[in-house]
Amino acid sequence: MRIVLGVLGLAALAFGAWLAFPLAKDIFAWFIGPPVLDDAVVLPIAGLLSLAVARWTTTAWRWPLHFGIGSTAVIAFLAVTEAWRPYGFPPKPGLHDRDYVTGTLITLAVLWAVVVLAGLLRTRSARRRPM
Amino acid sequence: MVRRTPEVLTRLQDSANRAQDKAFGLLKFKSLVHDPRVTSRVGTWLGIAFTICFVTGVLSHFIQHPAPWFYWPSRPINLYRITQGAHVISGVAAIPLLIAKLWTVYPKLFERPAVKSLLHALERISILVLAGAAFFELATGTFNAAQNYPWSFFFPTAHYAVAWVAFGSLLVHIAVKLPLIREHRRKEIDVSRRAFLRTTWLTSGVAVLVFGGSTIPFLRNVSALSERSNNGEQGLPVNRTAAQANVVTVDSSWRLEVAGPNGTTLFSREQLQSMRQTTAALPIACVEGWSQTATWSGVPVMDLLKAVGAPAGSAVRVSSLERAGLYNSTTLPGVHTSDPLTLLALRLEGKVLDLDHGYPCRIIAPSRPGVLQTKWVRRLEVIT
Repeated sequence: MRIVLGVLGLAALAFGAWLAFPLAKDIFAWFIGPPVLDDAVVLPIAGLLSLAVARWTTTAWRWPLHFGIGSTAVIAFLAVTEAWRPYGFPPKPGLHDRDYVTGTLITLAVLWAVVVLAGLLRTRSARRRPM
Repeated sequence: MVRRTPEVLTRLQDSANRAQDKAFGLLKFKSLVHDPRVTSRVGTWLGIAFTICFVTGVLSHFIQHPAPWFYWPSRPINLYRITQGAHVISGVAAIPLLIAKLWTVYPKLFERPAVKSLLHALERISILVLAGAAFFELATGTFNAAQNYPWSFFFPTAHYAVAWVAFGSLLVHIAVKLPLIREHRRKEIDVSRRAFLRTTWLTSGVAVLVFGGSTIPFLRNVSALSERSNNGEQGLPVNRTAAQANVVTVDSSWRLEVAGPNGTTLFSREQLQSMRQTTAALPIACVEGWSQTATWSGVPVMDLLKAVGAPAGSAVRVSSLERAGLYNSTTLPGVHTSDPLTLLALRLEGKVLDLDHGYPCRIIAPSRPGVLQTKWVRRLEVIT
């Protein structure tokens, strides 16, 4: 099983490398940049926030806050693709023609309302739990 | 002096090493989620998401660039809509999964020594390739869904090439880690680790919720970042406008050319309207992931082929009035031309086609990418 997977993987990898080789110069920054950004910026920030949440909040709030922070980061990335468009196609009838900034802010407001509600409910439930 | 230089260098090296060890010493990863039991579980879902993405992406590539051995059916009519929708949804869901997976193994980045052996070095390089290719696919794919291109390369070519790199390195990674994955997936996990996994699944769900409305109809009014709205002409989004295609007006002198085995026959729009009309609810399913069903009326392509004496099931080259676009000429395979729901559409939702939707007529066929549903049709040519 492992040998089959390994051989198929190496074959696919070699085919992909052959296809990608002529584009190497153009795609290099988009190939190396995101993992470096992830390791050097995104994950350290995630670690610091995680540390802050662990240090300054109670257990009941921990996971709702992690969920809120993680989802905010993902929503922010997805919002960039629609809201920041100097290289994008202009809006067309029915496509890319919504107010993405307002939509994102409303989504974040709903998300954080859910986070606060979950935190409060978990706190209440923790207080009621017999020691 | 000459004798002391190596000593100074050694001291400097020692103090640099001490400083480095101190710095790494500060990085104490105490979180319970840096654990192979968590990694193997997130990794399994990430592997599933990437496999769906890869398979559906390769299918989409071959539908647009068919190899002689490739077969793509015309039914069910929503098949391409489902596969391409699954492509985009699984890609978006994979973004939080990838970041969570990398977070669970983050301490490994600071392992000392950085390279233990040649095999270890190769493994670390292969993981960099996997991470690079995975991020490349997810980042460029998301920007493409938004039709936003902050790079100089041609997206379809690069996305397809790197997909093979990503999937190949994923398979190699699984082959290397399979015993570990099996071992740790069997082990129980505690409440904290379970909470991390639930948070990851929920974050993936949020990503799908805010982005998936273009693909999943009931999310349309919830997804704030869905690329499509309900503002399109005749209730349908327009991916390429007539102005973009340089098709400004089409007057009454327009004739459809149908080249068959007995020469070329011309049809006016009135003649087409007088032929047997078929009305069908068919989806437009775009490669960027959005889709929408609409009611189309027009002449079945099989009737036109019959009218010019071409055998049923012939492949047809469709040419547009658009002169310069990448998709101004497409090929309808025999499996589609023999489907009675493959139409040369004249009407949309009971009204004459808007110019932006392809007036005077356009192709609409079941289970085909939107870019191949040629608009402003000028000529049909039987090629087999």
